[in-house]
Amino acid sequence: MSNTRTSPEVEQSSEQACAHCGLPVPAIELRAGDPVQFCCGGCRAVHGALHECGLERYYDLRDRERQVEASAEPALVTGRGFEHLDDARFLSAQTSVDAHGVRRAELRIDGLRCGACIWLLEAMPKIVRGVMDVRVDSARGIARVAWDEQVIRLSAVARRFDALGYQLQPFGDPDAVKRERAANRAWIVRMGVAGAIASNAMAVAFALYGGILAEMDLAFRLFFQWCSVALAVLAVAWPGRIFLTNAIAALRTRTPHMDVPVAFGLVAAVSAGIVATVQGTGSIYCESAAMLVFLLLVGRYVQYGRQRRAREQVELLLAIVPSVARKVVADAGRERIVEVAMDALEPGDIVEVPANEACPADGRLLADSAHLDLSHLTGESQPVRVERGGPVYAGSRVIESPARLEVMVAGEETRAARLLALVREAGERRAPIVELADRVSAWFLPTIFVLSVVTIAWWWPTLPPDQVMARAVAMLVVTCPCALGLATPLAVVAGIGKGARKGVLVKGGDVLERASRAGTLVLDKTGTVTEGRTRVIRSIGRESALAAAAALEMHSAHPIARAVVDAFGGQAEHAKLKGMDVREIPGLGIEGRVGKSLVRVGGMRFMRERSAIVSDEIQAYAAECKVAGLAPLFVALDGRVEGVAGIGDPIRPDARRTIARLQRVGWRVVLASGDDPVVASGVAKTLGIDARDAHGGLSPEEKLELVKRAEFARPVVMVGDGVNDLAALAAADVGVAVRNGAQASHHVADVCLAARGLRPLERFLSGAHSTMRAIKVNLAVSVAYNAGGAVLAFLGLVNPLVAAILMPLSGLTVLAIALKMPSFELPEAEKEVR
Amino acid sequence: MELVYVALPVALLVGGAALAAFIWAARDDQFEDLDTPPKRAIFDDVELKDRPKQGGGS
Repeated sequence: MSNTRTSPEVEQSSEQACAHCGLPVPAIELRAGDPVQFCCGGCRAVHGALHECGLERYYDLRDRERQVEASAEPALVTGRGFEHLDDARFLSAQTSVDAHGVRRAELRIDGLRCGACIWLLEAMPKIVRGVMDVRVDSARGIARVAWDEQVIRLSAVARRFDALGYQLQPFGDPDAVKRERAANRAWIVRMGVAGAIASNAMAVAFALYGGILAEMDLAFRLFFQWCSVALAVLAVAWPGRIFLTNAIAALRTRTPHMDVPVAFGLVAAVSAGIVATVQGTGSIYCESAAMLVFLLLVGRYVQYGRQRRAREQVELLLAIVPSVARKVVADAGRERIVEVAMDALEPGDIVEVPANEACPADGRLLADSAHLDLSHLTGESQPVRVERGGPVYAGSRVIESPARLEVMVAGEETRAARLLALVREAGERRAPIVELADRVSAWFLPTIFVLSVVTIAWWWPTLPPDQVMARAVAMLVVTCPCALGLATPLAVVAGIGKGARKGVLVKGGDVLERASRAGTLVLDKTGTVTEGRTRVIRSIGRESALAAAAALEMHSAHPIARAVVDAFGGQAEHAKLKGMDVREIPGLGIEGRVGKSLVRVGGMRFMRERSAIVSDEIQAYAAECKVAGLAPLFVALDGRVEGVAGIGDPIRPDARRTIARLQRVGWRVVLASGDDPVVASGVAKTLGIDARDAHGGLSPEEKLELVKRAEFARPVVMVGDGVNDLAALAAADVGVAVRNGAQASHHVADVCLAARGLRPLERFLSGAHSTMRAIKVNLAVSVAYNAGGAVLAFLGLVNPLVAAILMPLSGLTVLAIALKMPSFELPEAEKEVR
Repeated sequence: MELVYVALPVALLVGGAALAAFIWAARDDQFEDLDTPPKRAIFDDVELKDRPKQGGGS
């Protein structure tokens, strides 16, 4: 339904825009004389459903929203029954019912695009009887639905949603959602409490220091000190406890961690404050401690929020195999189709797979033949033909027409499931890279400790003990790594945020760090350096012959047919050509009458079988196509070949220049493809990639081996979007997946790019580089602050007032640098208008 | 000046009350979804045409 994608080429084929999603309408979908046109059946169905329900305002609202975020995507209507939502086990486990018989459930919802979708879904109670309430959480793709059990079943509600292009499905792990929400709540509370305490502590501190300057009574001074100490103890014991527990855990496992010096400084500041207040002498650093807790928590929370969002987006896209199968059961001599959960399938079951949907299990084909899109599994871009009894793997998509298959293996034993297991294993074995911040903090703690001891030892002979101790405590407090602790998370968060706005979704700061140096870049061919769809790349022959071929191919839904229609169907003078008596010969080609001539379109074998005359010129051209990695398609008019089209997957126009730029900054670019080796080396040659780095015909296991090769300079960045790339993605130092690719790849990869192609990739790499630079500058600045503070403390020049100013000031400097520096802009050369 | 002994605790109490309100809001999940409510506000003025409601079984 929705296999039409945005591309300038399709646009050329017709001027019409889809009335629902706005994408160009492919020639094959054009309906003459119709004022509204659609790009696919899904959009047509949704458009109809919207008008039927009086929801036309959706389009106005959407157009308003489009100005903010443009993301055209054709609608998807699956037409499924959603019976599994009525399952008693599901209802009792994941829904609740109140006294009036109103049931509530929290469900995942797919198909949300913009604000207008929120309006549309939340208007459902006004349209569908029995639906009481719908609340959408657009950021997380969650819908909370309340419905009256007496009036409507949840499956019927889901079918209404489906008719509008939204699919409801239960959470795979509802507890994980609850846990995540509770964690977020805890973070917000912690941060709010820390902020409140810090601001109050600062207010008290102003009174205290102001009073000291104005020679306030000792009684008042002690009162303020006690207040200050109480607030600091509260800050460290409540929101700040997380640093103490982290530090204890880090000490126990002997791993360097930022929280060790943090906890050390906090405890020192608070204990010194208590001692000084009890004795009535010396100075206290309590507001510094409270401020430190707050600033550090802010840094941590932003980091946590980003990671959470990335995790949730992945959860949304998890399954590569459908969770529901359509099982064929014999019922008193008649056949019936029931929807069952995928786990309920057993060997020997017969399932029906609707056109354009993925197979739920490995099995044997029962139809005479079928075309399968294996691109998610093997990376092969051309559809594969399977004969009756041939193997069909879970996750492969049936194109053109529905097919039935007999289940051989289901669940954990399918090839797709075994691949996923391989992925998990590869991910666990990844060599750890210690983060820069952890390396810095590893020597940070000993340094401060030594400095304090030196301070005591140096001044002990010459100064009274209480002054010596005051200097030592000042040393501990002023060098407490507030700025240092903020330096990395703030830069990372700013980097990740800027990346997300540019369509680069990074799952963690360590990813940016790993990708910041140039190493080895492993690209899969399909979709990354090529466009990932079948296209006519070049052709010769009479224009009328090619147009006649297009007229015939209008009758076929085969991807090659679509490519021919897109390439030759648009010429105005031939657009009226009609194919008659069209016959498709599976695996060979298509034949029929166009006007007065008998037209045949197909490969060399088809031409030979029909003994078409092939001239030398045509032969030579076909041979040329083969060398360039293209499949020649012949067009015969009345038994004589009049045209040849080279069919293949075109290389992206920007690929060569981008690869050259990446090579210039030191990346070794390697091509790894599941496609034919001849094609792979042809593509590599065009792109300026070294012949020894072009690998074709790779199985998933071979891709994994390739990524792990020792000769490659680290980091190894792997780009891929098929299930066949999963293991390699997980094993690489940085795995990069592309949205719209196999959904499981989003789960495994460290980075998801919003668009295919090399430019988003280059954006990510340069962004990682500039974020890392920001981290380094930040670390340098905060170390400089601490060094300066240490010198002042050693000389006894730090009093609590200086510490109170220095601490937030260093934090703010680091914040400003973090917000300003990371950049996901493309290099200047790319922006030149050509 | 002795007023401080009363004023400061009172100020802290008022601050504590605000903090309690904040914690209540956080536990009520009011900070959970920050994207949808602003969009929802835009649609408040949108009225649906009057149509009979449709039953469930489509």
